[in-house]
Amino acid sequence: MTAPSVPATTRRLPATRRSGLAAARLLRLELRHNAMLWILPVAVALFWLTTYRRTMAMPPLWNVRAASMQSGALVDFVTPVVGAAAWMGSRESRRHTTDLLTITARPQWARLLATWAATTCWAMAGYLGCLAVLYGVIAHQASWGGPLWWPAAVVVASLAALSAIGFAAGTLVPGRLTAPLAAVAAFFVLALGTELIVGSQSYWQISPLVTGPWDTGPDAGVGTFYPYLPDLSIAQLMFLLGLTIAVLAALALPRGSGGRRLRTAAAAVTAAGLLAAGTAVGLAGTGKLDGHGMIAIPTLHNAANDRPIRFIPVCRQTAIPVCLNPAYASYLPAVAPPSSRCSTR
Amino acid sequence: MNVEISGLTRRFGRATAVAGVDLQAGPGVLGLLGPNGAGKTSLLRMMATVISPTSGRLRLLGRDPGSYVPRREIRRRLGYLPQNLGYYPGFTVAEFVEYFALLKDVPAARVPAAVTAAVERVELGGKAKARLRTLSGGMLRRVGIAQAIVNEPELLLLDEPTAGLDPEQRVAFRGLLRDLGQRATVVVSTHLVEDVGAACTQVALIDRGKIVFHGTPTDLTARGDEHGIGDAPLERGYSAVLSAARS
Repeated sequence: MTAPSVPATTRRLPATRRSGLAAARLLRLELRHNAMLWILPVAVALFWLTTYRRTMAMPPLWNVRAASMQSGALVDFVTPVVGAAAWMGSRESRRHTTDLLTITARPQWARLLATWAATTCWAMAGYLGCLAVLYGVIAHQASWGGPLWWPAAVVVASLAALSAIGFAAGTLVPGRLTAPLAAVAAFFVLALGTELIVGSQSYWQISPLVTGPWDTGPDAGVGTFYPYLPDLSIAQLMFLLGLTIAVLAALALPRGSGGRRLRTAAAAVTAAGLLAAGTAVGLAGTGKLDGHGMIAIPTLHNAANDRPIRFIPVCRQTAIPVCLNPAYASYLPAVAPPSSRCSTR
Repeated sequence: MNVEISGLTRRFGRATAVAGVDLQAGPGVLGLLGPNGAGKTSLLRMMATVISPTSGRLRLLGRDPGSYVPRREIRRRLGYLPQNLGYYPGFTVAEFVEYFALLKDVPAARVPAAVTAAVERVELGGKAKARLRTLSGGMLRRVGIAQAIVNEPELLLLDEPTAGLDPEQRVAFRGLLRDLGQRATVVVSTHLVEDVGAACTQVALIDRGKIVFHGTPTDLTARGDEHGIGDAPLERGYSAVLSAARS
């Protein structure tokens, strides 16, 4: 160990600190050493084995495939994301670095947030990659229409919320068993939550697995003849973001997480998050099945979405001309062969 | 004075780990000697702001660590090596030290240079890119020292820093301690009296939670001139003071 090159005088660190750059460096370190990175191939494989293959077996219609993707992707990602987040959340305790980290100047909450952010970034990157491939293939196969972004947004918000819940579990109850237990529990809560839905009006429709009437799913014509109603998606996003904010802010509540100001702000943000989540649950409970097979929430409903979508039909000039919505253009040869005498749609 | 302690007590349930310690320390190297369970680690953890005292007065770097804002300022200027170093096996040496530099609020632009300097000072420059899981116990100890000094602390607290170091590294480490002690207050908790003799300007002997001796290594050596037991003069002083305190 050497003793050179040290200034002889006591040096104070400058008052102005570029905290943004420091946070970026911290995030980069956390991204490099995050359990989610290692478990991501499992999530992607699950997505390919179940959601991708099932979705590709459906007709090449944006609405049908996007709705299937939302619930499928969530089921695929819930266990890896919650497990990895809980594992990362319990890292300090598992690795006995608590003393070392307690005495650092940066507030504990800021440190935890960087670890959570890295976990969530990898989960989202994995999901968005899967989504890009899926939507790319659909865009190649579908004859009309465009991607539905509401289901994709709900999954993104769900991953953030699931990651926050898993991370909080790992932080608050650190241990080697926390991650697997949290992952399994999250899977069952998500899967069984929808079992409580009865009819088209239920508070449990707030579950991000739900894309439309739970028993039947969204009507096949949604997004083709009528716009995809974002009402339920908006309520779900509000719920998930509220939950995420509340859980993350709650991590700053314990004594030692930061200064009094930070903890007071965290308490206010936690309350606001819970309020937003609770309001969203209330809104979801007021949802009704509309005439076009989607859940409409009166408070969030935009009447403009009730108008049919304009389209220029694709026609085939046979003995009896057959015209179809362009979304079904690929079916035209089947429903209007040169010798056919009637059209089926 | 960078460390001002008076009547400091820490209890864990019914057990009293530190019982009314009075201690002051300015720049230099203070060796904290004592038998197992004497309260060295508890005292060091209080000075590191890991745990708060049950009672008594503690001022570090002229500030009261009981309040958040001064505590944060103290922590910016503090280095600490705990007895059992926890670490992340997947991190490289440089990444681990960088992680702590960032958490200690070292300005981001200065972090790379600070990390390189800290790693070089513990002679791990050649292992900067090695993952921690591949290092020996002695090397890990040096990584721990590197993270403690990366922010060029004004108060450096080292709990058994030489445990696991080979003789050559220990000699080098004593040199580092002497250098750090020129501008900072370094408190070293150790069982090894030869470390104290070679590197410390002051020595405090703690037994059953109380400081039973505080002076220079020469003073401690003098205490053992007639009655002490041990191979080295400092060991004889150590045992003489302990015997006197217990009788």
